[in-house]
Amino acid sequence: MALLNSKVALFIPCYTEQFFPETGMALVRLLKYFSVAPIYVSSQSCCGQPAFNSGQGRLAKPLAERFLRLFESYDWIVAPSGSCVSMVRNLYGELGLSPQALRQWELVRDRIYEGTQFIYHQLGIHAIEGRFPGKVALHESCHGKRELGIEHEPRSLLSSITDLELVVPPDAGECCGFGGTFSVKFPELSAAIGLKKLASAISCGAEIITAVDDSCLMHLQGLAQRQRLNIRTMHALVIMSKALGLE
Amino acid sequence: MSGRSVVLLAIQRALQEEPNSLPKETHTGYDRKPQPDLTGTDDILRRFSERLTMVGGETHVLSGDEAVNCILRELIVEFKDQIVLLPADPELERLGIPRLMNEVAVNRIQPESSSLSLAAEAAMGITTAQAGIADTGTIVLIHSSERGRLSALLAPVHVALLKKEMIFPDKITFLAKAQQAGLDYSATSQTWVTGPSLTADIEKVLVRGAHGPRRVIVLIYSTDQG
Amino acid sequence: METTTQTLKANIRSALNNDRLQAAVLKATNHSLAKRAEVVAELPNWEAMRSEAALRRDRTLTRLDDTLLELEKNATAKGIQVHWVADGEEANQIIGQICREAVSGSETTSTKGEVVKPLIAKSKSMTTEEIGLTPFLESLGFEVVETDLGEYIVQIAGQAPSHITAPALHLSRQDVGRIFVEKLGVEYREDPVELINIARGILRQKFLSAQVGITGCNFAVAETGTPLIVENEGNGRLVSAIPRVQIAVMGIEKVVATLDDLMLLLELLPRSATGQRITGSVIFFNRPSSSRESDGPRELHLVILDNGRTKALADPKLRAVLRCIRCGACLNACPIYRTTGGHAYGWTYPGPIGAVLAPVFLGLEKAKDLPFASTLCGRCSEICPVKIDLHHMLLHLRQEIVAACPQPILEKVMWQTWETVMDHPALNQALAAIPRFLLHEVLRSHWSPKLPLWGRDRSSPNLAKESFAQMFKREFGEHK
Repeated sequence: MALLNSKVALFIPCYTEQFFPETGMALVRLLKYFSVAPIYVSSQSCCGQPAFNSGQGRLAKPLAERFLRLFESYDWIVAPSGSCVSMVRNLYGELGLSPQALRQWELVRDRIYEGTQFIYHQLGIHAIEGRFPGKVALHESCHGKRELGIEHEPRSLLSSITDLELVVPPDAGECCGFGGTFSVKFPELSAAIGLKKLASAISCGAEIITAVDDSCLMHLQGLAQRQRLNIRTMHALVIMSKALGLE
Repeated sequence: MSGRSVVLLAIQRALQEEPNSLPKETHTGYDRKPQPDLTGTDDILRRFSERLTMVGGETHVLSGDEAVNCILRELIVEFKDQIVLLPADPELERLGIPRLMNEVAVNRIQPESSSLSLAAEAAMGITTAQAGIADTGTIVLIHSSERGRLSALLAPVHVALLKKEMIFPDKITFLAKAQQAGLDYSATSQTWVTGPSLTADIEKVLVRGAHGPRRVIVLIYSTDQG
Repeated sequence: METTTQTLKANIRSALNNDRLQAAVLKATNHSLAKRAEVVAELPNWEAMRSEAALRRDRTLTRLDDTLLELEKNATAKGIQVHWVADGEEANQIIGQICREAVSGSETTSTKGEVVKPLIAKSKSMTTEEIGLTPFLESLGFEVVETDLGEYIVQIAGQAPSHITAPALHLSRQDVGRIFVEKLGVEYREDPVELINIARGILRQKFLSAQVGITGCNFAVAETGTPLIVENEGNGRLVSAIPRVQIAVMGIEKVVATLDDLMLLLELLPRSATGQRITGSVIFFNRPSSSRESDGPRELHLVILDNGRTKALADPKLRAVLRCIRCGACLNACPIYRTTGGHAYGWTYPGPIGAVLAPVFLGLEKAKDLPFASTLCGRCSEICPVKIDLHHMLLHLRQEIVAACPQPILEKVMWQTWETVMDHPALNQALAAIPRFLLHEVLRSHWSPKLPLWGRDRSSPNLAKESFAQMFKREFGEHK
């Protein structure tokens, strides 16, 4: 495999680090399973998206510059989040970076990938030869879908799993209502949008709702729990890793 | 300073601050011909009828003045003793429509020379259309002293007479050829009408016949004059 | 207008408590999206058309002064009277003056001796909503009637339009039925056809006696000097056929350079707005009627309005918002609009386009909350027929607002602390040294159910017993 001698770095988003470490571990296990040994740079922190989305671009800038310094020397950077990857790829240019950071960005922006995209395109894996029983509804996270163009990658990988029935609800491509700081500034509205999403997945008969972003899933899981809905959330990478028995 | 100079100055200042934000790449792959498949007259006619029917309009394709007279008689008879609007359009005169209306005994009114409140009582209006656009099933009404707006607008039924050779495949072809077909686009006000007036303002329920006609009937004819 | 955090939140709450409103909005927006999808699917080059339209709109904007001057020259040559106005106040003054002159000398008392207010009939125009024209003309003693059926319904209900192209979208047939009982004194009914018939009957009389017609202007073609409108109900035709004075009001961005540009936009606008291939009528106001014509306006005025638009023109990040052709597709697609409807936004233009226009037109301070009321999901930019990058404009406006407007101290401190921690791995690690198991338990039992920021409707996520860094180290032992 062409990637054997490449340096692949993990980028673990701040909330994954603290709340969903299993998702990060699933990514590591999958990469190892496909013969890639990822490197974890422990001095990494946040990509800066929460600040930028809140209008605090001034505070996002040092974090972005820090990110670029840390990851500049890697051939590939893989993250279990479409949203953070999109921030790096598409929005770092808006932060008024230093000339040096801008040069680093030109390199890094083409090398950073969301997990399923990396597995599908860079590793050339289009099917997961494993088993995971259950009916799973797909939520196409907004930034993955519209900013990174992720569409067939998770569909193809998930639907190849034995005993996994992937359903794509009619509103799969609609927002879950999380929206980062939007979810705290307008909690009721955020919840109302998310509940529509959950209702639609439940009416498709799904037991699990999946996505390539734990941020959407954190919001949906919180709603499902509080409202005692009969559905739970699981990151696409976690499903894939479980299907392959990588625990 | 006049409003004019204030606005212009504001625009010019804004453009100086940010003179050119155009992308260098200007090829978008856009092909201005939306319907390249429409070439023959029959194709064009079929498309016109199909598209107008889809939006609730009606069409009849007729050959010769006699056929026009025939079908108009059928249509007008339904409105015996009612008011029908007919403008002083020479083409309508040539087709013998005023005479026909006298025979059928409808109450013919020229909106140009009658009171508005009387014209508003009309049950039907008959006009010519100066062109048709097949791609959307649209008729083009060019307004002049002989062809006012109201005959096509006030009554619940509008019958439009459209010469077969004046139907163009699409909007762009219409505009390109209007001039050589003797229609001066920019000289006069005009209305492009596509089907009956409609509204969906209450719960998106489609209701045909809002403020304008409820029925639009287009008679497409080829003339005896060749 | 001022959308303070309090009013915006109260508006949202009241929408969320109104099930009927939510159902009406969802049904209507879904209907519009489905119809749009059908007619977009039949054009294989739709994406290329969007790109081309964006490019042509931009081209015109970069020479907006020349294009408007060309419009003025060609329109004036045909006898159209052109007025340039810097803001809504000036627009109202000039329009008021034209209306006064139009009715001077005409009868003001009826046969019974009552004073009859001179009547102005309007066809739908968001630009005139923006400048508050109707209340202004009413204050001058005119009767002003909205003739678009949806607009008429909201006018008699004393409301504002809740959608750019479907003003009464938020009302169910039962709502309309009740409004008609209360305001028109008719018997209750809820069949849309019957309701439309009632309104049509009333409005027909208004058309016949209107002395001035006021329309918007969807586009104005510079090369031919032609303002035009698109509509479906026939009210625009009547308003421009019967009154002998007509006033068309346009924003400076409504000018298009050529008929060829117009034809492209006429493909995009009806498809995006109402899912139609073309609207029921497209009315070209090429010139005032001659003395030999018995209908149409003898006097035709075109009012060209800035009212904040040049502020967008001057901003490289926001100029493209002036490409907007007011189709309303971004409203139909927006998860916020689809949930709250248009009134929650508290301003003339709702939805994503409104949240971008409000801070530009009204100033950052006055509309400082609207750009934050978005999930930045990008559906608006994806559906926009002229490819306005609406959600990134909202993101840009957030930066501007934080830089220009005073922020709550708590929020400021919070963000600064967050940045310091994130930017200092040593600090980060020191925090990580707090026994997580303990923290996990404390947060789970005390913090999670009560965390006010996260709201009442959601359980908070649990802090994991081990962070990723700890897990990775335990399992693989290697770190860099």
